[in-house]
Amino acid sequence: MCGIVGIFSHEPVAAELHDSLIHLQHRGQDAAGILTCQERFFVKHGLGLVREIFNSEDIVRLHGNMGIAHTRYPTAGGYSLTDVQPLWIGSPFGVALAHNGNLVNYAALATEITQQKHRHLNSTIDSEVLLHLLADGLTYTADDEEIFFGKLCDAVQLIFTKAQGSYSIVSVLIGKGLLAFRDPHGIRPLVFGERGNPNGTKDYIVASETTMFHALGFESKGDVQPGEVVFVNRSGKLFRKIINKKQFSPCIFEYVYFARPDSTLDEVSVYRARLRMGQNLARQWKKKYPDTIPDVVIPAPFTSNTAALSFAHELGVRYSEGLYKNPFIGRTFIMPNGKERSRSVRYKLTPQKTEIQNKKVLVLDDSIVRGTTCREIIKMVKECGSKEIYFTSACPPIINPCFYGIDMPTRDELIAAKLSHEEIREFLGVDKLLYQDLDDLVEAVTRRGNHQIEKPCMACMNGCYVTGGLDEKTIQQLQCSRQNEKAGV
Amino acid sequence: MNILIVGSGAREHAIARALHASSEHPTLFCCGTSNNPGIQQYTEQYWVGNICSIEELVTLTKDWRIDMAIIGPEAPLDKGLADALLERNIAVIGPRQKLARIETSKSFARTLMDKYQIPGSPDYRVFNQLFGVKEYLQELGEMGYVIKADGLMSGKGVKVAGDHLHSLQDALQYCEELSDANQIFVIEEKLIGQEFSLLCFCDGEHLIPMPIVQDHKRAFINDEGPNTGGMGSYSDTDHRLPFLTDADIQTALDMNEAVIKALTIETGQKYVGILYGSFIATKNGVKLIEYNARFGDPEAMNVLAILESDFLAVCKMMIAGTLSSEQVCFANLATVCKYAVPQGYPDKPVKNALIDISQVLHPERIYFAAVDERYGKLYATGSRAIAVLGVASNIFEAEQFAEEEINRITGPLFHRKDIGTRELIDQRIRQMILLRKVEYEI
Repeated sequence: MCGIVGIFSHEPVAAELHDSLIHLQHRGQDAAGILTCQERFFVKHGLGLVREIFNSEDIVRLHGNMGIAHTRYPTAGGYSLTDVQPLWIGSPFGVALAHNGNLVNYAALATEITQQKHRHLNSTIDSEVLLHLLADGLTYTADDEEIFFGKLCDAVQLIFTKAQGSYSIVSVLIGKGLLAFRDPHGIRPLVFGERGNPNGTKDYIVASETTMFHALGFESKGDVQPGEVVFVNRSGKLFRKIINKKQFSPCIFEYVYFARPDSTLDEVSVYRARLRMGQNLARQWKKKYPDTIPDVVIPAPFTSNTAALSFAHELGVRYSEGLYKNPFIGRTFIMPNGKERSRSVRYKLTPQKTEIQNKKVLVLDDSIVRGTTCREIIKMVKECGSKEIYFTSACPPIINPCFYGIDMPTRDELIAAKLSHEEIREFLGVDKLLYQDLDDLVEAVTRRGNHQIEKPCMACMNGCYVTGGLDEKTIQQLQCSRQNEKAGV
Repeated sequence: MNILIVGSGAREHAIARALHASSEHPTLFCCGTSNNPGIQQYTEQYWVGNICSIEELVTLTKDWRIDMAIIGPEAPLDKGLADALLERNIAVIGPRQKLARIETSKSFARTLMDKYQIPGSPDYRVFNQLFGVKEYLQELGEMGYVIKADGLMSGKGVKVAGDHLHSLQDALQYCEELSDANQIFVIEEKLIGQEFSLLCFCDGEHLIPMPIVQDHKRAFINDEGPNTGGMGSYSDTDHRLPFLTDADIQTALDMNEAVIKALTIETGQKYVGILYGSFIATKNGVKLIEYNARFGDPEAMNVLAILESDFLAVCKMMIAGTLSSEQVCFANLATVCKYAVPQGYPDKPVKNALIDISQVLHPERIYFAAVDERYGKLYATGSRAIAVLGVASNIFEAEQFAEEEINRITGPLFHRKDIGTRELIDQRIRQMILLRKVEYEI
């Protein structure tokens, strides 16, 4: 879970990269970096929120009309400043990249690079492996632009064949241009936009989400397709080619939780997808509990507000923001360990007695991961004197860890992986519990829009890991190493 | 000039009054089903009998040397009265039998519109037996259909889901009755919105619209209770209704014109008379409920009272085929008409109840319908008894006038107090705003 952006412009690009990061802040609040390019790289990295890292002097110092930027939510690697992206390498020419996603076969690739090729890896993050793989493929260069693009595609093809997992990449090549590509399954999002200049030239943007397009004046031109290479050369000429497409399986959790609601990803409006999730969930509620009509539908803010809105509309009951969230406190989900998480729910959510007392309250959350946040919320609602309390999840039960870039905990911590429906209801302490149906979730995401989604990745719900290479033994190993990383071992 | 009025209700009372006011001072005659004292006061001769007995009426026109006839109700049109009189070289306001099918056969009207590709019909199907009925009713949904018997059923042939038919069983039973009686019937999608009447004078070629009127079919206030012949109606100073858009009105007008053209081609005959389109403004624009081939009752009171042009002159233009909008003018006044009806109307009305109109201040605004005068006393015979019309510079003043006047009529009667009130009209405006609100799928 990270946010990435790359811009090719005709004016200094640092300020726009900075603004883009602000619009991608929800994708990672742990660290951020900007790298610009003008015959050499200019870089600024830091830990914390975008606003805390960059000041106006930094922006002035970051020269160049093209660049990339990254906001980090660590799923691989540690938590130190050395692991902050974008990463770069100086040979065969300056290559820098920012990565959103997660490699499943990092260990094997790292071994190959260090043991066989005797390279040095600065960090333990998978993105550095991708950087080396890319640089490896770029040893041959060419003056002819078509031929060079062909070489680029070959280099990316090498990554496609070697790297297993999810990777949406933006990259700059000194003296060459801006490069972007997306893994053959298109697991993580990568959108594409254009901006016309008065003199007829065009600027291009590639980013995790469309959230900054409006502010920066870019027009959405769809997405980087799964297995596609996009390249803007130094004279501003655009090259696009799909070189290795597999079943298109974008991550469904982007729509459930992660993406900002005003984004359009893979031709599907996140906002509308969430409305439809609420609608489908409400229809399921009516089917399952026809005689139970809540007095009020309260979202667990803010992600689930959209689904709760349509849920309430479909049921014909009042929607109420009965839990108010202080927007100046970071996401709970982002916190790296469970203890801190349960304490901070109470810290940042305030229940409103007027909206809860003596009412049959239905709380809708986007998902139930560990169940600890949900239980805490329910406790707060009960303390306000609710008459009855129901809990609904816009997402089906999460029973598997994610190895494609969403920070899901291990199976042991996933409540739905351990407990039955009834046990979960008891654990949460609610009168009724309803999860979204798997098919209903897929329907909600794919109902409308001119999208090409074949089978969204929902490995965390159905255990179907689209890239393969994830047998039970590997899953155990990956879970283990992930826990070690978090514990700082 | 000798003019025959066929019919003896409030509508014909309004027609008689308008002709009586003509500067040409025609001599009026009436053939009616009852003795209407309101009409009688203007007539030279008044015959009471079966107005569908064409031969008798033809004989009378000979005896009375009738030059022109105006046919009020639909039943004689259906029997071919217009054709019979035209054969005797008597000018007639009222279409020939074949043309009148636009009213007398619901299936004819719908299929004609389809044949000539005139938009505005709801989803409908014509049946002559039960095959496919159940499926179609189910397709239209539980409360989503209207069943109309083909042919004139004196207002009893239309049954609406939710109002008359409370279940699929009810609906199927009604269809079975119709089918058993070898009756053709039309099943239509039930339309939600506001109804309005757009009447036109027609000379066979030109169509001149009259002010738009809204009738109130339901017996009780807030549009509750059973359907009636019409409890009252109103029109506005600008001759349109507050909840209609320009496009709505244009659609209705276009439909009327297209239907006259289609009828002319279809029958090879000229439509001389009144074409009365009963429309409904819905969320999907204006749809046609049904056509009538005559003046509406109560609409005739609303429109004829504010017709500034000489009604006889207008009739002559219809006959000559020289209608033009410059010569048909209506005053920019609002009208509200309210009917006083016997208690228990329409299901179990009090019959032959003595009523007293001596306290009425404006007898010229009173129209007699189902009343009988016996030995100087007035009796309500069971159907709608007396209509009162208010005419003023706005709807609410006209309403007040009508309300005050109708309260001066005493007897076991009731009327709808809400017709023409600000409250009811505002409610309708709001309903249309809500209906027109764009609903979108997520």
